[in-house]
Amino acid sequence: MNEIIEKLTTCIEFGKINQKSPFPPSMRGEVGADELTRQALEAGIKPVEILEQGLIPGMNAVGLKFSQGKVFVPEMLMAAKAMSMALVHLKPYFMSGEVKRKGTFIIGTVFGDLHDIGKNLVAMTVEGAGWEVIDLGVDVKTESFLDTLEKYPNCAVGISALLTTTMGNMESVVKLVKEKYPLTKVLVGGAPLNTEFSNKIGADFYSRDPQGAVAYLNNLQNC
Amino acid sequence: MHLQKFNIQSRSIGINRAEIYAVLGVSAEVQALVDEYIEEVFMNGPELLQVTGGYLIAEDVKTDSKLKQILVNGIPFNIKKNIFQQLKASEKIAVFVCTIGDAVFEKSRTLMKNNEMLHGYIYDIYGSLAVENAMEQVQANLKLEMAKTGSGISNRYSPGYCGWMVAEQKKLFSLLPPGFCGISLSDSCLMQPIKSISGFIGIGPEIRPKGYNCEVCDSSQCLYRNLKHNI
Repeated sequence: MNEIIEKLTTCIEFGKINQKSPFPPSMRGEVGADELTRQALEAGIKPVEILEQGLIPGMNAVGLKFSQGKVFVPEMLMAAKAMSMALVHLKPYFMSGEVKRKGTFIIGTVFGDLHDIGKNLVAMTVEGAGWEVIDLGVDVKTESFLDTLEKYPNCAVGISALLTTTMGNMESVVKLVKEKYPLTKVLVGGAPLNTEFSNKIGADFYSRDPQGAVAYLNNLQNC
Repeated sequence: MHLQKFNIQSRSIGINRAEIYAVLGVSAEVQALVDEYIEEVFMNGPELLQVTGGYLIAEDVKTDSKLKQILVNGIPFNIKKNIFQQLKASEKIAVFVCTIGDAVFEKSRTLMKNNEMLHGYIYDIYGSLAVENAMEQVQANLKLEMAKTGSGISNRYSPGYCGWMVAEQKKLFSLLPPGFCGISLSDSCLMQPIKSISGFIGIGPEIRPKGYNCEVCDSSQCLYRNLKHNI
């Protein structure tokens, strides 16, 4: 494999944003995801290869370590930041259609709830896995999910809640989404949830961590 | 009914690095970066704190051992087995709230929106710890006040922990004057400002603070239980 691509994977996995960034200490002074993505494009490497062989494997690696408890939230956040810096360079290719994402994922915290850290972590990890992510934010009304689905009818939907008092609000969102878009896959997540609750409200999948959501989404064929 | 309200000096709230490490999870590799952010938060965070806390002491307290309920001013609270054990001998209940205001939460979210996720997350943790530490001061005041009457106080217990449902916040807030300490409750029982806490503290001659019995709690997603027992 190309040396630049290999280095890029390492930069994403270990959260090396750019040369200026002192993190991680073991890579201090070295170029990061920002410079390497630019170098890769200048070297004529196809944007799709940069994404699929360089960036996504790096995010997958750190996501896997996170779900195994080998790294913590700070490492995930730094990896996501490195990923976002790299994606800035690929944005024109996404816009032109030269690089296609795996699909579109709409995510939001259910209405009545303002908690967003877990939701943001999932959004960043899914984006890093090659998906286009539309983050609707917090306190998202059912209509907002439906309006966005109208624009992206083949997407998957993720709904988050942190409180036992707001997790019940997910049921009406799932019901209305499924009524209007029966083929749309709905993922749910949040501290008080479990698979039993997910099944009860008619969601397709409960993910306890970001990597679980990525694994489920990657298995979908219709997005 | 006895109501007390305190405005707490933000610089008096002591948060140490280890508390943030414990919530965050910090490896040797990431420690220097985290420390840099923590230094900034410790320097500028206190200016963002607007700390108010207080309590109402309810004297009409009854218990129902069969239902594991405590009735405060005639309102039944389903506090579940673990909390009931700690509060059942209470002659009075202090209904408490405490907040640090909105500014730390807003700072955290501004940083996150600007792609400074880790820095923003550390502000969020700082806010959560600040409101708990501020409540320690309110609780210390209550302890002193009650000691004068020969009573002790229990640990504090909040809806959302030890099986006590968050939905019971509505009943808890109905015991307090509207907007007490500047805190309001949404329809979904979310406190505003977000960085606020509420709950009960038992009071009585036989009441003493005891452990939180986290080891027998089955709330596998509770941060405090998991941190305390390294689960």
